[in-house]
Amino acid sequence: MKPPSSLKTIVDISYAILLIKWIIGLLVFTYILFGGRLKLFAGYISESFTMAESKTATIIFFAIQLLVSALFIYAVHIIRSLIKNFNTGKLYTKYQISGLKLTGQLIIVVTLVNGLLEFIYEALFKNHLGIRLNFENGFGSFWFVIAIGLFFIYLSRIFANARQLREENELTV
Amino acid sequence: MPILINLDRILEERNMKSNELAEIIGITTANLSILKTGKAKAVRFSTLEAICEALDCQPGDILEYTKD
Repeated sequence: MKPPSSLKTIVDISYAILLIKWIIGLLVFTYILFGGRLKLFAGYISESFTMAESKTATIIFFAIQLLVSALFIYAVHIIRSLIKNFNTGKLYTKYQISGLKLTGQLIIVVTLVNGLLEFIYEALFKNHLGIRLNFENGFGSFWFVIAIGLFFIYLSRIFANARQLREENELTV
Repeated sequence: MPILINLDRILEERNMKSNELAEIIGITTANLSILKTGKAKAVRFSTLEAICEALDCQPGDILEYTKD
């Protein structure tokens, strides 16, 4: 059972866009790291920060954001290779089981770190400290993405179970 | 596995070869080999019935339980 070709196309395009965005982010980060200034950040910097402090904070934030984005891109990369692997026609392989699990874990880690970053960002740069527990109406909402991550992990367990059942079936005489 | 398969012994007693039995009961020699070597996870009643009929024996003659 092969996955639809549109799925592969969509994931490939998403992966390419994410990769381009990440490379641009890396270039901007390198620019800031070597003394460049961006007006984009000027509006968010709190008055209580000195210029040197805010620059350090921006660099740290940017570095963490880049790292988290890299993890997310890696998760998309795994999904891409999983789709390629499904195309071979072999199902419930060890690679698929571990790939699905890792994808789920990465999605959860990236979402949690992003949430934490947003919290710290608002506290540091906007002088606004608060915790929200809102459920947005969209597929990009925090809780929905966490659920998607958990779903991937659950899917990997289903695959592991299916693998065991298939082995038993093959060894039934 | 604490369940032993005594198919080799029964086959020897009946002067029958594995491939002959496989042909009679309608399974592949590879599957019969899985059964003989104890790698099988399960045996269908239909297979067991066919083996017993072909070898004129009881299921207990083929399967034996031993404690680990």
